[in-house]
Amino acid sequence: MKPGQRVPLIFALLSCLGFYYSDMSPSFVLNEVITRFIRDGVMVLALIIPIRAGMGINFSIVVGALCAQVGLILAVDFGLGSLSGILVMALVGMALSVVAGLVIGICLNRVKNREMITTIIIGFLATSIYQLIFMVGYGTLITPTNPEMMLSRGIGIRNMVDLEMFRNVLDTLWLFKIGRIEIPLFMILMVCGFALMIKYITMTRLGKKFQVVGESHEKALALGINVANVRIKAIVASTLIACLGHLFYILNIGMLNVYTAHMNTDIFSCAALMAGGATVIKARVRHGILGIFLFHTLFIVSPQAGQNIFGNPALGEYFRSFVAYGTIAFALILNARSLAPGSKKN
Amino acid sequence: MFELQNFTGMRSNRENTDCGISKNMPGLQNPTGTHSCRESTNCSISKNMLELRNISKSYGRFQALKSVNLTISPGEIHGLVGVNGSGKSTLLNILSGQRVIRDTGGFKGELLFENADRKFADPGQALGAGIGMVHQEFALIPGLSVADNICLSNEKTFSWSQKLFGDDLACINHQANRNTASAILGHMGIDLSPDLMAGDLSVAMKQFVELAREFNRDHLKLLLLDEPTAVLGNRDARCLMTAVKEIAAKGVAVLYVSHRLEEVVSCCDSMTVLRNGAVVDCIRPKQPGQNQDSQNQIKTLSNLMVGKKVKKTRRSQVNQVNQVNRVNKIKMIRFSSFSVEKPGDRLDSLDLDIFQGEILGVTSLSGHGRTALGAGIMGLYPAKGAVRLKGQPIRSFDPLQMIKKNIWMLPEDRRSEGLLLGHSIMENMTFAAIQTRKKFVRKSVIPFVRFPDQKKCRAYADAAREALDIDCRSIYQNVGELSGGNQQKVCIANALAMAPELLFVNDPTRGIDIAAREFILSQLLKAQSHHGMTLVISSGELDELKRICDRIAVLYQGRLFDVLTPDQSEKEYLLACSGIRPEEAV
Repeated sequence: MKPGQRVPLIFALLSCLGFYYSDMSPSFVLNEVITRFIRDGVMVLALIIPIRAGMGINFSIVVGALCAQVGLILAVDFGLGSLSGILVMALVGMALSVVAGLVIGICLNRVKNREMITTIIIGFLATSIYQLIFMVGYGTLITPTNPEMMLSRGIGIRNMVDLEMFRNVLDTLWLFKIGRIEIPLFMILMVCGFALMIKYITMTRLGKKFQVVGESHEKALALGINVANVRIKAIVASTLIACLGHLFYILNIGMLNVYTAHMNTDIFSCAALMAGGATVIKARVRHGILGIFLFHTLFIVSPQAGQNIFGNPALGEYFRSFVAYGTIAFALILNARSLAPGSKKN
Repeated sequence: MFELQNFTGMRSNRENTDCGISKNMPGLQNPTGTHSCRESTNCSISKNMLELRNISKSYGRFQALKSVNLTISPGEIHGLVGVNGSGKSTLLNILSGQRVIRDTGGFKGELLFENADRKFADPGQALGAGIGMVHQEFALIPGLSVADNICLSNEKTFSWSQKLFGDDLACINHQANRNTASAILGHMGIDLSPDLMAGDLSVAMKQFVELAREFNRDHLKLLLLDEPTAVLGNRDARCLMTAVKEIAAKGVAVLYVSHRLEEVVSCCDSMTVLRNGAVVDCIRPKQPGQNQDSQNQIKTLSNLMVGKKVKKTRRSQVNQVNQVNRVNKIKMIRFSSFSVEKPGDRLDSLDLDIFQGEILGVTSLSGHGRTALGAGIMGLYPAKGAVRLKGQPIRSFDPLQMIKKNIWMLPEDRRSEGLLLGHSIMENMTFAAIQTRKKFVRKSVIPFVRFPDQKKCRAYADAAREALDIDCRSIYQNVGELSGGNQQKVCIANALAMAPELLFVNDPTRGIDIAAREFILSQLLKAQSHHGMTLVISSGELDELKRICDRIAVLYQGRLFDVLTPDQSEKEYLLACSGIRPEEAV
C-alpha cells in the first residue's frame, strides 16, 4: 500500500475508535468538523503549491497569518465595521503578504534544499517582529486611534481584541440547517472555491512549471524555465492564500488573540495535509480536503475519548499534540526513505 | 492537426524559396505568421543562420576553445566531430546558453545568430531565440507523461482561459497536447503512447521524446544535437537521422555532434573538425552521402580528429604475472548472477571471474550498467547474487565490510561520493585510512581514544602530492577548490593510502583534460604493477580501456554481452556495445 493511502487509513481507524469511545453524538462531531473545515480549510490548501514546486512544507504560512492579523488590527483601530472592514483587512493583508512572500521567496532561493528549516525560522522571526511592533511600537512610535484596544498602560495592544462588529458576518450568510446540523453554505463554498482555484492552478502552464521545478532544477533550467522566478511565485501564492485563510479563521472565531492566534497554524495545517496522504514532495488538493476531515475528527473526539477511557482528559489533550507532530514526523521520515539512494523514487 | 499538415507540407515549399525559414519556420507552429516578415528581411542581408567568429573560452588556465569559426545556413546539417575533450561540449554549452559558461567567466568572440550578436545568459534566452537542444544526459522530466514532456513550455491551452487569465494561468488542454504529441511521434515513425511516464521509458525512447520535444517548439531555427545516437541501436539511429533530415528540410539549421563518423558523413551537408579546442578543418562535400566518397571521408575525418599522435599511456608489455595467474586461475573475485539495482544504470545477473593482478575493463554505453558493478559490491545500491572473494563467500554488501576485505572504489562522481569537499587535501588523502585502517594514528594507552598522527599524515600527503603532481597551493587547501583532474589525483592518493587488493574505478577520466587523463591512467597502471592490485576500471572511453586493460567486459542493457581482448577492433567493440554479434552485423 502506498503511503498516500496508508496514512489516511490509519487516521480513519483512529478517528473511528476515538469516536466510539468518546460517546459524542454524530451531529455534534459533524457540526464541529464543518466549523473546523471552514476555519482551517484554506490554510491547509495554502501548503499545496510550495510542495508541488519542490520546496517542501512552507512553515512560513505563519507570516501570511500575521499579515492578516495586521490588516485586522488596523481595521479595528480605524473603527471600520462589517463588510467594508472585512474588505479593508483583506486588502491590507493581501498587500502585505505579497510583499512578505516576495521577500521569503528571495530568501528561499538562496537556501535551496534547506527550505523547510528556513521557513520555520522565518516564521519565528516574523512572529517576534510582529510582537515587537504591537507590544512595544503601538503607543510609542505609532499612535492608536482606537484607545479601547490598548493596554491600560498606554503601550501595546491588549491580548484579546473583540471583533464584535465582524462576528457572524460571513458564517451566517446562507446558513441553513438539516436536522441538528448547521451548514454555513457561503463559507463552505468559499473554501471549495479556494480548493478549485488551486486545482485550476495545477492544471495551468504555471502549475506545470511548478511541477517541473519540483522535479529538478537543472532540467528546468535546461528547458528554459526561470527557476528562481517560479519558486518566488509559489511562495507568494502560498503566503497570499494563507493570509486569506487566517482571516477566515479569525472571523469565524470572532475574537483575535493578538499574540497567539497565529501560533501553531503551520503545524496543524501541515499535520492535516499529511493526514490526508500528502508527503513533503507530493501534495494534491484532495489530500488537503480529506486531511482536514480526518485530522479534525480525531482532534475533536480525542480529549473526550481520553476522558472516557483513562478518566483523564489531559491525556486526550496530549494525544492531540502527539497526533499533530507524529503525523508530520511520519511524513518526513516516509519521504527521507523515498529519497534515499537506491530507492525507487530516486 | 493543423500543425501536422504544416509539418509535413513544408518540404515541397523549400525549393521555391531561396531562404528556407522565411516561409517554412512560422508554419511549423505559428499559424499567425508574425515571424515571417522579420525573417525575410534578415534573409536578404545574409544567408547564415549561425555564425561564430573567433570564439574562445577558457576554464581557468585550461583553454577549451581557441578562436573557433563556424557558419551554418538554414536547412543545413552541420556535423561537428572531434575526440573527447576537443571542445565540442563547450561549444554546445555556449550556443545553448548553459549557465556554466557565464559562471566561469563567459566567452570571447562573436556569436551571430540571425545576424544579431547574441550572448545567451541562460538556456531560456537561447530557447526564446529559437535554439533547441537535445541533451546527451536527458532533460526529460520523469514524473510527467510523454505528451507533457513533448509539449513542455509550449502547451496547448483552452483559448477562453488564455483570454481570461493570460499565458501563465491558461488551463492546459491535455487532449490537444496528446494529439500533438502522437502526431509528432507518428511522423517520426515512433510507436509510443503519449500517456506513458517519461521515467519508465527505455533509453532509446527517451532520446526520441527529447527530439520530439524540440520538433514541437515554436519557431525552432537551430537544433543542437549532442551525440543523439550514442544510446541507440543502428535501426533507431537511422530512424532518428531521417527525422533530423526532415526537420532540416524545413529550413531548420542543425548542428550534429557525434562520435559515429559514418553517420556524420552520411547525413551532414558539411563538417567541422575540432582538435584541442581549435578548428582543424571544415569539409563541405559537394554531394553528401555518396558511397564512393564516404569511406575516404571517414578516413580523412578520423585523421583530422586525431592529428599528431599524443604520447599515450600504454602498457609496455602484457604483465607476465597476469598471464601466469590467468593460466593458474588464481581468482580474485567471482560473481555469479550478481545484480545491482542502481537507478538508471542497473546491472543484471552478471557471471564473471576476475583474476588476481589483472586489469579488467568494463564498458557499455551510458545507462547500460557499467558503473553499477563497483557501487553494488561496495553496498552503495541494493545488490544480490553470489560473490566469492578469494573463494570466501561475501554475504552482505556493506562499505565497511568491503574495506576490511581490502576492497576500495573510486566513484565516478568524485565531488559528491569521493571527496569531502570542505576539507583539506591532506585530510582527504588520509581520512579513510585513519578511520578504517588505523594508519597514520598515534599509539595511545587509553583504549578507544587514538589521535591522528599529523606528522605522518603530512609526510604522506607531501609525498603523494609530489608523486601524483597535484597542482595546489598547499596540502591544506580545500579539495573543493581544485580542478577535476587534481581532485581525481587526490582520490587516487586516498585509494593508495588504503592499499586495497581489489580496486574498482568508475570513469576515472570523466571531465578531465587530456594531459591529466594520461597521467591518471599511468598512475593507475603504476599502482597495479607496484602494489599488485587488481583493477576493475569501468569507463565509456574505449580507447583508454583498450590501451591499459588485459580484458574488457562489454555490457549491454545491464547484462554481460561479451568479454573482448584489447587488440580487437574498434568496430567489434561498437557492435558489442550496441548488443550486436559480429555475425548479425553482416
